[in-house]
Amino acid sequence: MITCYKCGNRAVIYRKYEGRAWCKKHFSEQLESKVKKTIRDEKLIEKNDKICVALSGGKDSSLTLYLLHKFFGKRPDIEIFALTVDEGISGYRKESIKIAEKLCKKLGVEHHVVSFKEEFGKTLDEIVEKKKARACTYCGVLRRYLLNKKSREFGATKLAVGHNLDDEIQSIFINYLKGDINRLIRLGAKPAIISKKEFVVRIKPLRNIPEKETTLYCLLNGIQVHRSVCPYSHDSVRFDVRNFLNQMEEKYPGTKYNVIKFYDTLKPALVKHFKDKGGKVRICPRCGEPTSRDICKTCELLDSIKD
Amino acid sequence: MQIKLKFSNGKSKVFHVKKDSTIEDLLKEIGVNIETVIVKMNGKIVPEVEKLEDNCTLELIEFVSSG
Repeated sequence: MITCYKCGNRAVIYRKYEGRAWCKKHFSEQLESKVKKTIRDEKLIEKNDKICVALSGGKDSSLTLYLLHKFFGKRPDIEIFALTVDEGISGYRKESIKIAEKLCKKLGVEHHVVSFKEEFGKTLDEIVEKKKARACTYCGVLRRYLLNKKSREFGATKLAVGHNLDDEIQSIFINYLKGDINRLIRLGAKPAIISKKEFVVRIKPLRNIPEKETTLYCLLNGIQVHRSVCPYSHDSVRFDVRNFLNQMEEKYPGTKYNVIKFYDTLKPALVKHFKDKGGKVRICPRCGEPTSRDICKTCELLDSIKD
Repeated sequence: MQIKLKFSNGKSKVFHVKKDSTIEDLLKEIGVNIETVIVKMNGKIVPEVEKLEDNCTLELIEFVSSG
């Protein structure tokens, strides 16, 4: 039997990247400490913050809400609420919304649901059917737009997203593969490059936690999560990059942490060199949301799906 | 040794492995990346470096990026 490095009890995980095994108790404590360290080191949460957690009902966003509530739920100066976007994906999103609602009820957290249908007049299924386009392009842009707009309208000072280590390094690779330096330098636990009052500051408390460990924590600590696969998820570059990075990590343990450490070391130099070359942030004359273009990407996509 | 493997989709299959094989050995054999699953052996979550027990039941919990 593999036993815990610290207490000798039965282990639930062996981290190849550090060469140690951990039991449920010590694994959970370590994960919480790591998240707290990210929050502290990156100053993700400050006094009097009103935090909107982007909650899909999946493991990462559920864990983000669970931990922020655990760490800050009793702080009188910090407010937490959850926001779910219903893109309108049949056979997938309804169930996850139910799970999100259940978690919010259990924690006593205010929960808002906004939908593509109500906001844009079409579900994602209808958009994809009409355009025969990549669902992730539309979904990503429209969802980010709604999360920023609605969290701001609800008075949030921070928008907490469930991006884990895997998500972050996938984004590093995707932007590298696309040659998109402007997006590349915007990654991080709290991308602070754009300061505009229309942008709610996005924070990523789970940025240093591998996906496998966010899943394990949820399983061990009884956090019910939605586990179905988005029917459109195979339709993205991210899917291929994810597979590649998982193969590398399996063969060369520590790869994922090396990628993020390398990025974090390089980022200050990249920001210094490219910050002023990414185009000025202005306000979209059509919708009033922040953008670096004349007309924002959301309005451009919405134009393309007009009947 | 005989191992019963239960997949996330509810299906199961019996495998025969050499003595002292680990869970990771079996996962490699069937082409499952250890980065993408959590494994239960006889109902308990275990590290993949654990040795397989004869006549045990393994359950693979696959996970996916949510959003």
